[in-house]
Amino acid sequence: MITTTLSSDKSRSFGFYKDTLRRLKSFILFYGAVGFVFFPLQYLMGVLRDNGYYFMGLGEVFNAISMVFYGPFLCVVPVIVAAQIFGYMHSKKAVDLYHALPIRREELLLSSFAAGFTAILGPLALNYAIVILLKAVRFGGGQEVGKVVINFLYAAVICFAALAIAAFVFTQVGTKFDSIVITLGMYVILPALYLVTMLFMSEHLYGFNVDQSINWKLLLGLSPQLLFFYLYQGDYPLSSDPNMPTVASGHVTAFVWLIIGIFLALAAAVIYRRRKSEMAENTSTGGILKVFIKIASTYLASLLMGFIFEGVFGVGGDDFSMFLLGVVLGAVLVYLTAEVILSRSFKAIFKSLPMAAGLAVLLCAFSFVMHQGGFGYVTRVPKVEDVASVTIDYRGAYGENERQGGTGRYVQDVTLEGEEAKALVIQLHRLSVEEYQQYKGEVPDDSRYYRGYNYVNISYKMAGGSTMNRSYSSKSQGFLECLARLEANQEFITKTHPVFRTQYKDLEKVTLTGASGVGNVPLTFSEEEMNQLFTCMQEDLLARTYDQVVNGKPAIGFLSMDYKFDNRHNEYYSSDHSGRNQQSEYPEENFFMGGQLTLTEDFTNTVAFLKEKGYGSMLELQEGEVVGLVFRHPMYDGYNSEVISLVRDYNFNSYNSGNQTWKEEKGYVVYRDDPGLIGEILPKLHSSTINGYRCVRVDYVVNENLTANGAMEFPGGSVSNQGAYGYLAIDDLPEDVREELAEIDSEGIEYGQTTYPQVAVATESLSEDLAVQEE
Amino acid sequence: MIEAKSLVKKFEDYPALNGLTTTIEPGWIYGLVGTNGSGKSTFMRTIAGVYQPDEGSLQIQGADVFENIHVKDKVLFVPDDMFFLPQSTLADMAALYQGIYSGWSQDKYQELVKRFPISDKKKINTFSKGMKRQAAIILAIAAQPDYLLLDEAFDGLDPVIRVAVRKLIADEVASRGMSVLIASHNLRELEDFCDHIGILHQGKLLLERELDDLKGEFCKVQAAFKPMVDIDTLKEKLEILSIEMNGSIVNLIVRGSREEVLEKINHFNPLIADSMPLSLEEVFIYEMEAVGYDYNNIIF
Repeated sequence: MITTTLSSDKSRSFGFYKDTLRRLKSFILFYGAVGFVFFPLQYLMGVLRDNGYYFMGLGEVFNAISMVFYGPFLCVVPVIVAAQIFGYMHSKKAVDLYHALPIRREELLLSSFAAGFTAILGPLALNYAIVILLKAVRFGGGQEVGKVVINFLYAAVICFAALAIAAFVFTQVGTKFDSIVITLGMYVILPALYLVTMLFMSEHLYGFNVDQSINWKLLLGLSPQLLFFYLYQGDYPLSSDPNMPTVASGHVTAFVWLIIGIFLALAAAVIYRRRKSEMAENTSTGGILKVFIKIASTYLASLLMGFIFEGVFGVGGDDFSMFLLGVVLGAVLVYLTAEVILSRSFKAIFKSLPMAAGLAVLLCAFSFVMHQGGFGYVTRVPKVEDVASVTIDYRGAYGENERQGGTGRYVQDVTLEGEEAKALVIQLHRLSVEEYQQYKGEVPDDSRYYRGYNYVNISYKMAGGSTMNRSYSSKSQGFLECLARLEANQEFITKTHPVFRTQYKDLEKVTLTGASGVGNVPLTFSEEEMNQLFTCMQEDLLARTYDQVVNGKPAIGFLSMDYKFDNRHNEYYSSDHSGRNQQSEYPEENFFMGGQLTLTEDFTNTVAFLKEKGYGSMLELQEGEVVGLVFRHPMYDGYNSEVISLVRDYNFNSYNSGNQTWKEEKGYVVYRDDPGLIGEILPKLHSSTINGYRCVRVDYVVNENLTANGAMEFPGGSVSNQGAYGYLAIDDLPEDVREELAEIDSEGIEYGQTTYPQVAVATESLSEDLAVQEE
Repeated sequence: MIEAKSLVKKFEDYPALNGLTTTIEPGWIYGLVGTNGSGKSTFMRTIAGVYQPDEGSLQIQGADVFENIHVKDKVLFVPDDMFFLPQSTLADMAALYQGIYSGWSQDKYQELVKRFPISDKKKINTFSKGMKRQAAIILAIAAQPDYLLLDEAFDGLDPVIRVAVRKLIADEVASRGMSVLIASHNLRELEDFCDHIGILHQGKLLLERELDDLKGEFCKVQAAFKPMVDIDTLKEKLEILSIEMNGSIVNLIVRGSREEVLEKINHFNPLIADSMPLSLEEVFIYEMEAVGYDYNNIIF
C-alpha cells in the first residue's frame, strides 16, 4: 500500500512537472532562439570571418556582442521563468486551483522549479553544444573544448542559483510585481551594499583605500550573476589588477552558489508549505525580505545622495555637512518611495515617516562616526614589534622594471621584514596620521611646482596573522623624507634594485652613458668583470646614505642594464593568438626588463672600477662639451623639482624631444650659451632635486645646432644634441634668466623654500622607534 | 463524512469562520446559504484544503484535510471565479487533472465532452462565462471525486444546461454516493436540488436541517376574522414571525407545523384559514430577521 502510495505521489509530481514543462514550450522555443542569436550564431559568424577572429572568455567563445548581450540575457531569464512557474501563488483565482490539487506544497514547488530549470537548461545546453561542435570542427577538441564545458557549467549554476533566489522570494511575497522587484533587488543588493560601503569609507575614512581593501573574491561572490566575470575573464585577466581573482578561484565560488541554490530551493519549499493561500494579491505581505530591501535601498540611496550633495554643493571644509544633508534627504525620500511602491498606497507615507526619520538619523550617526575616525581606525598606528612584515607599493628610483612571472605585470610593491624598514614605513604612517589631524586632510601643497610620487598603499601583516591596510597621500616634506629614508634602507635597496636580484647570465648588455648625456657605449666585459661591476654597484648602493639620496651630487654618468628574457615572455606580448596559450608555461619567478643606475661621485667603487677599465674620460665633462643650457619653466611638461623628486633619480638618458621647437620668445624655456655662465651653473646642478627648495630643470645642449634666427631646432626624433639634465635651485638662477622665465606665465617664478608644511611633530617622529642612528 | 468542529478561520483580525461546527454525511446534497460575507466560500476553501484552519478542526473521513493529498484526492472544488491554466484548452486541463487525480475517468470525460456543447480543443479563455462553467463541471465530474464542492454551481448556465447539470450531479450521487456541497444565493434552485440546507451567518451555522424538516418548521397562514381577533392574544398562542393585516384578512408567518398552527388558529374561529409551507427563501429571510439581518435596516 505504501509503495503504491509513494509511487502515486511520485507520479503526481512527475505529472505536474511534465505539465508545467509543456506549458513552458513557447518560452523554451523563444528563449532558445534568442540565446542562439546571441551566442552560437555570434561564434559561427566570428569563425567564418575571412580576416581572422577574436574570441574572449573562458574557452574563448564570446565576441563583443555575445559578451554584451548574452550574459545580461541569461541574468534576467530566471526571473521571467519564475514569474511563469510561481506566479500562480500571487493570484487568488489560481491559488484556488493549485492549492486544492492533491499534491503536497513542497512537491508542487519543487516540481515547478524543476520544470523551470529544465526549460532554462535545455536550450542553454543545446546552444553550448552547438558552440562546442563548431569549435571542435574548426580548431579540434582537447583542452579548449573542456573549458567551454566549464563555461556551460558556470552558466548553468548562475541560472540555477538565480532561479532559486527567485523561488525563495516568490514564496514569501504577496504579489507578482513585488516578487519580481525584490528578486531583481536581491540579485544586486549585496554587491551594491559592499561597493557603496567601500566607497563611503574611502571618501570619509582617512587611510582607507577602496582599491587596496576591496576583496574582489568576496564581491564577485555576492551575487550569482557576478560569476559571469569568471566566464568573461577566462584565462586572461580583464584587469591588470593582481588582486582580481582568476577562474580557478571562481570554481570555488561557483560551487558555493550551487550549494546556496540548493539550500534556497529547499528553503523555498519549506516556506511555501507554511505560506497562507490568502497571501495572494496581498501587498502588505513580504515579511523580512521587504523590510530588508527597503532598508538596504535606503542605505544605498542615502549614501549616494550624500556623495552627490557633497560633490555639487560642498565648498571647502563644508563638504561633510552637505554630505549629511544628502544622506537625510536620500534616506527619507527613498524609504517613503519604496513604501509607496510596495504597498501601492500613498497613505503608507504617514505610517512610514517615523521609520524613515529613524533610518535617516541612524545613517547620519553612522556617517558621522566614520567621518570622525571610525572608532580609532584613522589614528591606529601599529608598533614595530606587532608587525611581521609590511608591503608598500613604492619601489624607489630603481625598482620599476621588475615584472611578475606568469603574468608579466609590473611589480609595484615590495615587502619588508627588517626592523628598520618596518619602522620607516610606520613612521610614514604616523606622519600621515599626524598631518591629517593637524590639517584635517587638507595638507597645503605647492602643486604648481609639484611633480611626482605622493601616494602610498601600505599593507601590514601583523604578528597575529591579521592584515592591516592603509593608503596615504601627501606632498609634505615629511612624507617625502620618509620615502627618501626608505630608499636609503639596505633591505629596501636589495629587494628593489636588479643588481641584487640578477646575475651575469641574465644580462643582454650593459651600456654606459657619459656625463654629457650623449654617447652610449656598451661595456664589453667578461663574466668575471661584469660580476665585479655588479659587486661594486651593490656595495655603493648599500653604502648610500639618506643625505646622498636627498642631495644628489651632479651626475657623472649613467649605467643601463638590458636583460635578456625567455622567448616565452616575448610571446605573451605578441598578437599571435597561439602565443597567448603559452602563459601557463611561464616561469613562476619574477624577471627584469631592465635596470639603471645614475652615477655620481658617491658611487666610489663603481666609478673607480669604470675608470680602471678605461672609461674614466666618459665620466667627466670635457671642456666645451656643453655648449648651451636650456632652463625650463617649472610648468613645462616635465620633471620639475620639488622635494618629492628627490627620491626618484630620473632616467639620466637623453631626452627625446621629438618635433619640439624651443623658441626663446614663445616657448617655456630660456636658453643660454655663454660659456662663463655654463661653467658657473654646471657645478650647482644636482642629479636629484634639492631638499626643501624649488628648482628648475636644466638641460644640456651638447652639440651646436643653431639656426639663423637664433632659435634651436631639433630634428624630429633626433637625440644627438640634447644631453643630460640636472636640477638647479631657483635661488641659484641668474637674475636675467629668472626674469625671463617669470615672464612666461603670469604667476611668475617664486624664490625660496617650498611652502610645504614643516610638520614639527613629524620631523621629530622621524627618529622615533628607529633602531638605526642617522648618519 | 465532512466534519467541522469549532472551525475558526481569520483573515488578519476578521473571523470569516467563527466556530463553525457541522457534519456532512456521504451522499448528501448539501446546500449552503448565507448572508454576504457569512463565510460560505471560506468554508468551502477550507474543506478543499486551500485554507488552513486557525482553530478547530476539519476532517474528511476522520483525517485532516490540509496538505493531506490522499484526502484532497477525493475532493474537488469548483470556485465561483474559476481559474484555468493560461492559454489552455479543456483537453489541456483534462491532461493536468488526469495526472493529478487518481480517480480520473477518461471515459467519463470523453462522454461529457460529447454531451456538452463546448469544444475541448478551443482555448478556454475564449469561452463565455457559462461555457467556462460547463468546462469546470466536466472536469469536476470526470475527476470522480467523493466530495464535490460547488460555489455558485449554476451561475451563468442557461436553463437547459442547468437541468442537465443537476441531473448529472444527481446521477453521480445516486450511483457513487458522491457528496455535494453547493453554495448559492439562488435559493429557489437549491430548494429543488438539495436535501440538506445549512444557513451560515457571521461565520457560524445558524441552523442546518433536512430541507423538508426545515420547511416543515414554518408555515404561512392566511385567515379571515370577523370580528377581528385580538392580535396580542394571537401572539400569545402562536410564535408569529411576521403579521400583515389587510382589512379582516390576516397573513401570518408562524413557526410550527401546519397542523399545529391551524389547530391553534381555529380556536379563534376564523371565517376561513389556510396554510402553506414557506419557500426556502422566505425561511432564510425570516431567520435572518430573527438575528437582526433585516432588509428594513438596509433599505433607505
